[in-house]
Amino acid sequence: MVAELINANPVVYERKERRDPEHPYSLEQLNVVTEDSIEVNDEKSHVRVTFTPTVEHCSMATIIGLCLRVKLIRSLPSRYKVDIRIAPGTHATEATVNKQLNDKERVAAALENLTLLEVIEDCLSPTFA
Amino acid sequence: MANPSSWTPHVEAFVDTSRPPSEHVASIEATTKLVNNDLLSLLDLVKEMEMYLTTSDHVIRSRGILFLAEVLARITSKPLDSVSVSCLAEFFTSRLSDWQALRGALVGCLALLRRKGSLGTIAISNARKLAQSFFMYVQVQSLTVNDRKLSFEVLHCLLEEYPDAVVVLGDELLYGICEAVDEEKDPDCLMLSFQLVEIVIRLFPDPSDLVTRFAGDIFEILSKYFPVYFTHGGGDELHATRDDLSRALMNAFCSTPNFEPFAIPLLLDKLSSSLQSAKLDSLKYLTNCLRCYGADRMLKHSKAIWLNLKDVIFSFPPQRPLVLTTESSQDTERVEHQIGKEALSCLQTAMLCLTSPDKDVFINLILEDEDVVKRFGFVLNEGYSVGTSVDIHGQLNALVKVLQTLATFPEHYSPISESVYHDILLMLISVVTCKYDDVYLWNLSLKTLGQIGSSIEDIHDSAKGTIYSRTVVERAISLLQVDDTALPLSLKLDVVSEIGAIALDPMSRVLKALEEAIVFHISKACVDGRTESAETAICLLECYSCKLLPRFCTLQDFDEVLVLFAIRLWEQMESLVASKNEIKVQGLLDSLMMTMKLLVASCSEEQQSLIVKRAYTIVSAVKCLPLQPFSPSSKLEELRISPGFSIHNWLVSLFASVVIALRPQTTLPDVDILLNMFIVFLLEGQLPAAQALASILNKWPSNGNISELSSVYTFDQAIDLVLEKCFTVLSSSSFLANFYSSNDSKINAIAGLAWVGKGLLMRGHEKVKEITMFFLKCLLSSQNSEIMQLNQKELDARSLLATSAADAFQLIMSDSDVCLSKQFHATTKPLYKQRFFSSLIPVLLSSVKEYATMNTNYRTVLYRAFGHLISNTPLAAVVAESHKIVPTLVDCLGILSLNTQNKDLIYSLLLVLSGILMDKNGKEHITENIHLVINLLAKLVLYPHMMLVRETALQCLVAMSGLPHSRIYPMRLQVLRAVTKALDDKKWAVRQEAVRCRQAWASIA
Repeated sequence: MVAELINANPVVYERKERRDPEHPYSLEQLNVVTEDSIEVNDEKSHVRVTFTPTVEHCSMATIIGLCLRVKLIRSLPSRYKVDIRIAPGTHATEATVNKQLNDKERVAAALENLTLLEVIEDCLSPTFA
Repeated sequence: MANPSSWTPHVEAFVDTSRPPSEHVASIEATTKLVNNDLLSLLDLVKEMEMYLTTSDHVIRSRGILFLAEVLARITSKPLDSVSVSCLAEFFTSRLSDWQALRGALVGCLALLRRKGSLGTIAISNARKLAQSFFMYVQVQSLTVNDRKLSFEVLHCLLEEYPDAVVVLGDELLYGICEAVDEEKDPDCLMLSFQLVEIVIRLFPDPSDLVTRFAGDIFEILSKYFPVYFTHGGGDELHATRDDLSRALMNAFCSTPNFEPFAIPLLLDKLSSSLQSAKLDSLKYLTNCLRCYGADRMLKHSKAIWLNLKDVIFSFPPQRPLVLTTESSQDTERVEHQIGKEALSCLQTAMLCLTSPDKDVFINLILEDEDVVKRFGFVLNEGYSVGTSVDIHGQLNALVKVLQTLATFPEHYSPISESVYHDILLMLISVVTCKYDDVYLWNLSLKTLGQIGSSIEDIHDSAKGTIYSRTVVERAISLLQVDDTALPLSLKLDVVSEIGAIALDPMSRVLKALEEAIVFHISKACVDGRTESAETAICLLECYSCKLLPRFCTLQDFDEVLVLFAIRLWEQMESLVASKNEIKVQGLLDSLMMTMKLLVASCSEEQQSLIVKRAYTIVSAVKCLPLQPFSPSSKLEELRISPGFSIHNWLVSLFASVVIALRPQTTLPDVDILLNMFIVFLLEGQLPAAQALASILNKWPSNGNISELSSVYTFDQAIDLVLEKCFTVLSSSSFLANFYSSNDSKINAIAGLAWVGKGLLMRGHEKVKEITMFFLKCLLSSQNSEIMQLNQKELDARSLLATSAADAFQLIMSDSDVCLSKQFHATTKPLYKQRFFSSLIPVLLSSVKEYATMNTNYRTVLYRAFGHLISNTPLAAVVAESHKIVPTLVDCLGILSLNTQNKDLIYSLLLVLSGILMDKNGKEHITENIHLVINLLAKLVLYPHMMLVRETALQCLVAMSGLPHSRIYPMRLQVLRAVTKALDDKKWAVRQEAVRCRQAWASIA
């Protein structure tokens, strides 16, 4: 019933038509982030995401974490505090990366770097389709 | 002719085994070229090579022979005279006994055997000698893989190309082949050897002593390979795969019926193997063997086959839900699924093949099988635990499928006897009548019965038809007659609709029975005042009108049955009027009316006039109905009717339903009296009467031939009278004064007028304008300056009147399925909605402008009317006018959103807005009013009363992010603020849309 009503909306209809079926593997498909690894506490407005890099020396770990953070900042109401961590024992420089990801100023600085921002936008664009 | 010295080095090079293989090949190629170009004759070559071919050094001899053979194999397209071929054949045949030089001999023989027709081939006698020599000297299994393969190829060629030469060898041939293939292990060689067996057996025409004698031995060799099991070489395309091998072996198994005594026990034995691939293979082989071995041989295995198949079918249901986690379990699942499918197809083949002229052994086996009965009985009597229901569903499905397959054969080819057919039907119908608590089985059985029924070609004139109608149709109908069976009514109705749908005859019988039941329950409900009977009658009527009637009309047009039923219902009413009983259940009247409408609508004109006449006689016999002709002089008071006679309301409503469903050409008796009566009831707030009036006006013949319709009025006169009366009453001060007496009838009277307007509008009559103007007046009446003097009660009455008038526009514009629809033969002018829209929109827009300064409460009704008009007009028409309406539409949405009760209207208007947003011109007009639109959407994003409104508003905002950058950029922060709040929405869909919207607007920076 609801779906039918939504389809009655010309805006939705057009967008569905334009959607590109091809997209690369997502973090879910790679099991980097799973539903179990996300804890949400709605009352206390707190979210914690624990992700698992594919290999111990994964150079993308920081970028993945940054993407997760940006995606959450943009998708969640501002009342939430977001905590992003690497699963214990799955990365060589776990502590450093964790520190980087949860330091507000460092994140802000990273997002001011245009090259880095472009990479993140590229990563996130399919999720906003 | 080439000098020997020019090519002898090639021979030397080849014979020297210490040289690299590439040089060997090169030397052969060079010599072949010489021969092909006639620079060297084959005979010369042989003569010059004599030393190499006959020397006692076996290394040199074997290389020499191989050289000659290789050259020979490369000149297949060069014609050779029969003498040289014969010479060479004799030479290579003799060399077969030379085990040390066997390779060359085999290659040579093969090259000769493969030569094609006109280029010179081996004579039959030579070929036979070759074969004999082969069987005498070549011990295939003691050779290397390559030589074995060559040997099989030689045999293959012999059997394929020279069957006449070898078939006379008889024993010797079969024995030789057995010996050659026995204990073979290489997959490629096995492929060849399986084919060899198949070909050699086919060489001997079927009843052949020879094959019979050898069948056991040959099968013993073959049986060692079943089931084919090997895991070697996945990716290599050149080599045989397991499937290839299995197929080749299957063909060998099927090559002669003589294998039957050995093959069938083996296959049945392997069927119970724990290895799934073995099971699958056994089933496939069994299916094929059934076809190839023939009924005579297979009949004696029937029982064993059935027992084994049954086990497989019961433990591997073909349907399984796909709840899979890992890949390996998916694989097993797939194999199990295949086994189930293969088992069913095997069963099907068995049923087709295992028949003998006198009795259907196999089918009887199935039907008599205790397990089948038990399975059924198990489900029938015990029920089962939920955990295993999936398996049982699969089994049941398979079982019922089998029964259905059996029962749906065309009569002449039917594999089952009539009594078995009867048994099947009986089993199914008993499930349907008794076992209703198992929903799955019940539905399955009912569907199957329906399908069996539809497969009967002629239900009157065939044995099956008779059995079916005696067993199934009668049982189904009796369900309606007996009240005390435990089967719930809704299921009973499902049964009769399914059974009735199969053909005309059962349908008529079901309709008849249903009719009886309906009449019975109506009289019970009305005379004895039993509520449960009324409820039963409602269900029966719904089943009759919604399920059976449409199907019946596709089977036969204009059947008398419908007329008779309609008249019968009227007579029922007549007796009720006489008995003066009160009828309390309103739902019953609604169902009766709907049934009556559908009945009448599916009749022809003559039949309709019959019904109308009968109904009119009954209605006009009632004293206290206002049945005088309508006259302009009659006072309002005369029109008033005393309240509280529900049976009369019933009669008028029912009569109205007849009128609503009439075809335009059907004549009405005493139109003037009817018009009067319907007007009176309209003004009393009886919607059916209003609909009937609208229907009469809508279908009034337009050609001016009035005489047959009414002797009193022309069409225009009639309209004038109706409108005048309505306007006088509805705008009189007493009507207004009583309006707020919390009585729906006044509101209904306004709606009734709207129905009349709809009728006129649909046929394109201009008088609809008067009605529209009346409604507009009502709308604006609450906003006149004199209202200041009115007291609160009157104010409320006025505003309620205005709201009803606004809602009248929805009624006029929207499609309805109770009246004035295509089904009820309404006259419809094309594009009438668009016409109405474009004539009304300027008036409404100017009123909106005029009252722009008024209090929002007053403007709400105006906007409500506007909203109803816009949202019911086809989108294209609205979009074309978008330049005029966008600002008003936005304003309208803004004001309507202040009130909870307008939420559906808001949603439809929002859809209109999004439609405009998708149009090229529409976009421009939105852009012109971008501030207004964004302000509105930013509010609607948080609209608390309807999730769809919030979601659609966000979607519109996303779409708007594509408008020209310079226009939207200033709005960016406002939108983002609004959307950020929407991120915290309590509905997931809205949050998701909000994320998209936020991203879209954040990225335009």
